[in-house]
Amino acid sequence: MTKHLVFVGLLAAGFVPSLAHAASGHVTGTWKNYQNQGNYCDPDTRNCTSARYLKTEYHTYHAISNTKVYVKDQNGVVIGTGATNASGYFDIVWNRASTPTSVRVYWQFEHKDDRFKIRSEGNGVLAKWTEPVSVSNGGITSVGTLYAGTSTAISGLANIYDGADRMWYDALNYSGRMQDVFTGLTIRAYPEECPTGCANSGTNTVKLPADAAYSPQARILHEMGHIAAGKSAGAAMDPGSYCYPAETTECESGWSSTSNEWRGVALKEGMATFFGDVALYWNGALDPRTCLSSGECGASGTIETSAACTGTVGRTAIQMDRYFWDTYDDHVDGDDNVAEPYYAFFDTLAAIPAGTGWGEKSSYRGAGNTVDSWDSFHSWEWHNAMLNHWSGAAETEDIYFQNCMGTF
Amino acid sequence: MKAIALLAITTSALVGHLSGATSPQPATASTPTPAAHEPSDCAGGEDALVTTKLTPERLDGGTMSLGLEIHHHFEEGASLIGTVELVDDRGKRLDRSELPARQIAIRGGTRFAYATPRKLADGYYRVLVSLLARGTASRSEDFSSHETYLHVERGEITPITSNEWLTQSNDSLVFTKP
Repeated sequence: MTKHLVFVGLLAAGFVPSLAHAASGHVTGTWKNYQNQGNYCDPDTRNCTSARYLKTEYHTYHAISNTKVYVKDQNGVVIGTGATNASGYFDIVWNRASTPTSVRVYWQFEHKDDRFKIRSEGNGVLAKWTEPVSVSNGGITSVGTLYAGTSTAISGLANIYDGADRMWYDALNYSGRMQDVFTGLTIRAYPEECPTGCANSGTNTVKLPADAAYSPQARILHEMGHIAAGKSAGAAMDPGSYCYPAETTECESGWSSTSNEWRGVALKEGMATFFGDVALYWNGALDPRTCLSSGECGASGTIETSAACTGTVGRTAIQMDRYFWDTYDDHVDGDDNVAEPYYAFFDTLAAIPAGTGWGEKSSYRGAGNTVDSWDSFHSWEWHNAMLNHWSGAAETEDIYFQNCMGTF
Repeated sequence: MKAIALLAITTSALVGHLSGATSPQPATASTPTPAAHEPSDCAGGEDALVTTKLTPERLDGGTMSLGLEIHHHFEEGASLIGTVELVDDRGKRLDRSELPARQIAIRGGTRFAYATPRKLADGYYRVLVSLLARGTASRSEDFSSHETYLHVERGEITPITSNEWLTQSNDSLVFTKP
């Protein structure tokens, strides 16, 4: 009885006219993009077992899946929101006080569950949108297939989005910890202060240069790997120096996966690359590779190899990447008798005790918060963490030495 | 006027590059104090094996000349091939030039020049450079692409930033057919 009286009261208050004039309808369509990312696996030239991105996908049109889509009226006001499915298809209901003169469909490079989004260098919204489309009250309007980029108008942003999408769905999503903490990442395109890309898990931001769009492994996958590692560890685990052998953090040079680094830096960079490698190769892969290229990775980028251990060992990111890969993969090569799940790496990072002692997250620091161990947190500390702190207690000593980590 | 100002800036940048400016190195070693409890950051990703600087250099009779400075960081000599394309913001290719094949010494570089076609219509344009460098001995390959952007208004060509390209050109408008 009370509810009835309230409803009557609302009607008397003037809600009837607005209800009578409300308009709604559907807008349907499909989003696609031209795939231009390198780092694919070509079955005609190598073994692509368990590779997740094959050359047959390269230079084809693919669905933009699991992404937010907006319908905006002629004034730019959002009147409907939805998401694409795995095929890139969307069916959005719009609602408005009256039928709009026209609508546009917008894609703003946002994951449907807010795992990540792409923004401008100044954090502004970037978008792809349609020409104005007429709609009718109660009608279903199909806008057909919408191409964010074509073979002659390649969209770098859409390709970066696809890289991030692969990183989430083919890699990070398989960690419960990542499902809990990997959210809200902003990918900035393309600020000039990061000419080779950079990541900050504290601000939850990745910054990419314009040249990054088609080199996923060394750019978007790698930088998202840093975010994943940072969110798992919750603390800096090395002094952040690329200046080896100088004991300073003031230099501005970048790094190469094959150049000597402080061991903690080599671990951190190799780990970020490994986290991204898994987006393109799962644990049964026989010839996984990594590289910085917008083409296919050459044989020099293989991470499933028995490299000769000469010269300085344990100081390059590629050595760390290979050690992590052998920890993860189920292919027995040499002394590789370990096959740990992807999530084990994130859970190990989280399990490492806080503190500045040997084997603790900030072991590179000493008394007074100053750096007293430029090589920490290093690969043997990591070995011990997987053995002693992770609940799975994995012994990785054999593959540690197999991948040239060495003793020091 | 705007174009002239930009030209001056880019020219000075080019001169700086040719005079041998390199990445700054620390003058003195010091012991830093990292911010406590700051999650790990990446201060920079991997350096490319081939780096390219695509610089607008001069306006001349309705065309813009661009200098293409290429450096490779292979530990061996390399052969280099590539293309330069001019595409408008709706994907229409207006020009395509093949760069002549060149041999580059160990950690060396080379330079090309590209001039846009005369009398470009008002609008937004993308200059796209694609390069393939192959190590002479190892045969290892590095494939990379690089872009810069131009705006033509009343016949005047002006270099623009990637952000201006993304937010002002018709690049944001979707295509309804591939």
